[in-house]
Amino acid sequence: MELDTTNWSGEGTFTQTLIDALDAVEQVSLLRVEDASSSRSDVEFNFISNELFLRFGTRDRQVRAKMLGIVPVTRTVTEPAMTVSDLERALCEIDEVGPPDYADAGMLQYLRTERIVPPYQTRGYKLVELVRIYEAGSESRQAPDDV
Amino acid sequence: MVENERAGRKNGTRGAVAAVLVAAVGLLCAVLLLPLTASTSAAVREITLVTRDMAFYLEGESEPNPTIQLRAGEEVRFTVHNRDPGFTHNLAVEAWGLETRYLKTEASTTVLVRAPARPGRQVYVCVPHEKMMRGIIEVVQGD
Repeated sequence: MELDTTNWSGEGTFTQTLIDALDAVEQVSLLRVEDASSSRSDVEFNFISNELFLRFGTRDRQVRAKMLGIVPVTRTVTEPAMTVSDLERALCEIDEVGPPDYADAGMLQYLRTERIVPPYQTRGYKLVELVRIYEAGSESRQAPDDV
Repeated sequence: MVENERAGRKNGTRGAVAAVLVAAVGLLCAVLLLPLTASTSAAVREITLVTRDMAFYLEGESEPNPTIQLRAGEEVRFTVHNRDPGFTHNLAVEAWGLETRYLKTEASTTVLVRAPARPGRQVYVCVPHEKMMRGIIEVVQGD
């Protein structure tokens, strides 16, 4: 799998878990990881938002057809080896990932929250990690004005 | 015949005076009523808040959880539109006893409020995500 992390700060433990999981899915041929502009932090929380754009490898499939509606022929059709829904099922079976918190035809969304209490502190802060996976070429769900 | 001419002139003068009076009354009404109609249409201010990426945004703007400035006593119609896939959001201002229903993705709701008569600052939140979705409504002295 070709991995592009040039636009990713490296923040997000679960994002790294997803990258490792996607690396094991042989139908994924390219993965681009980016920081989303909505990442932000405050006294009580740290919100990490990452976006993963992936491309699936292709496979050839033989399709029977009739030339001019009469002569039977076999054509080769090249199509993606996987869909986002197939990927969802594949990721569900990985213990460290599990089912997405939200999914539709073009996106998988994972949300992980954790309370971090640094040494010598009592309250700490909430770490929220939001990861969205899209098929490359589809539009980000971030609003156009902040993409 | 001369008397008839005089009577005609008198009637003409009366008509002109009546016309001037009617015009003056009309003008006076227009001057008095026009500001009232204008203030009625401007009385309710529309503010659209969009929720996405676990934050509130004013529609078309990119600052998360912005400070919203209102004039004291101003009437405002808030429209909240949830554009966050997979998340349920709402809008609440505890100090005003205001809380909208919870909105699923792509749902929206509208609430009409009147800003307090005195200047001050109130917190607005999304109840399920109040740590991250929290901003300030600043009420300032009206004109």
